[in-house]
Amino acid sequence: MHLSNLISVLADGEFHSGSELGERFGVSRTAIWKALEGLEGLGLDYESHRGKGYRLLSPIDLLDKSKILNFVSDSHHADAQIEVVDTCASTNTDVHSISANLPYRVLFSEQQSAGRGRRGRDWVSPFGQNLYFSVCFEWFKGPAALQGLSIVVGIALAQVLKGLNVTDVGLKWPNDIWISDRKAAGILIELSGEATGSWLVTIGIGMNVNMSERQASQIDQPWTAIAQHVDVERNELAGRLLESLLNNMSIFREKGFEAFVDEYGKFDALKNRSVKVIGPDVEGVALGVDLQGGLQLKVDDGVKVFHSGEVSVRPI
Amino acid sequence: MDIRKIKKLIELIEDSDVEQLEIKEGEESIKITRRNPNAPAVVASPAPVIAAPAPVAAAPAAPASTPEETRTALPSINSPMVGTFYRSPSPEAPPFVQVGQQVKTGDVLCIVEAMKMMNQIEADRDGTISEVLVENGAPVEFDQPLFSIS
Repeated sequence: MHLSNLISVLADGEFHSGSELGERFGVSRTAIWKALEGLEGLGLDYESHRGKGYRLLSPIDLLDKSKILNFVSDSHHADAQIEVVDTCASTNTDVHSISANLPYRVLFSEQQSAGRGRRGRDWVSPFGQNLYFSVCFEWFKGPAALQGLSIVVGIALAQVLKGLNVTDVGLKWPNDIWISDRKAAGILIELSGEATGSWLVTIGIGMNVNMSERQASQIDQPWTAIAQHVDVERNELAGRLLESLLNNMSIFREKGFEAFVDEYGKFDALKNRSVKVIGPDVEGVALGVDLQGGLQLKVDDGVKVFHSGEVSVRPI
Repeated sequence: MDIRKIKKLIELIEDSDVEQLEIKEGEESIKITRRNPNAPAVVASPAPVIAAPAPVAAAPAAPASTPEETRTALPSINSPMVGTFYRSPSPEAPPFVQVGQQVKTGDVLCIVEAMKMMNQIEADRDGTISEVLVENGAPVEFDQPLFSIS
């Protein structure tokens, strides 16, 4: 009996007795009870009730490739090998083990055991609650031509949320997805390659969907989750995000970042706010992005442009 | 040798005061000589695929030069983009490479980050790290040398 099979039965959020579950999987009630201990390791909250059995505190709609594909156009589907797994270390790592002779390889996982963010920070990744996925492709034009890709991906996610009528969706430069100044999703892009050869680009996306307060206890910044703003199934959200991302990739390949400057302006959460670029520790007023996606900052003696670094917003 | 690499080398020469540059990589070698400051000329070594078995066969191109002049700069690994230079995968982790360490083609040497794009820079040749040219966390420009490799 795989834990994921047990979870798929419990996913409905209804009570299931130990004997019912035992019968279904051909194991003892004790084996079920022991297997359920594994749920905590996955960050899933459940309760047991004498006489009724076990249930998950919140039902899960498990990821299902066929449901995801309902929201992906045929042309994009033809370009991508899409896989869904129960667990992996990090989708950004494991997406590379998909073998396919297609332009894009895509991996969704219900959970990440070693989800990561910028500079090796953890990305909290409980089972079945949120979305974690990676899109990987080869790039032949060199990394300098990828400047701005981070923002293009951020815009793809923001466009989907706006399309679902989430209000106050913003991008915090370069690509944190904010809803009313609280982080709902993050993007980590990893590149590898030699200066003269082809490059492997891996876009990793983590979006909080049903994250609970308890699961989020390790998050060290203001956060939010999509379910607090709109009622949408994870499979639908997953499909829409992938479709939007592949759309923007097509435009980016053809026209570069310039085609996205105006769109960024619609989501710019920092515009005209006092911010600080951490690292060089420069403070100023954010003026939007330049044609390469760099953050323009009005400082005492003019305008400075930044291509890297973390930005913090000065509290008012 | 990759045509793009040659192009890059020419650009390097154009932007510098160097009169002549000769690089050997295994069986391949290339010599770029500047005819006049505005028109650098490329002279690929004749038939590089059938390079003479004895490496000494490629005679030094600059005769009667002082010892200082024959000391050529070590090849470097340059930044492919504008960004921030990091020597380790995370602040707590040890650096990818140290001075004196032997590296192979494809080994990760550092990360250059731009807009949350973490760019793992790999060695494009086997060799030994002889110098780290940029401080951890410092901003780097396009094509700025990051490491020298001997």
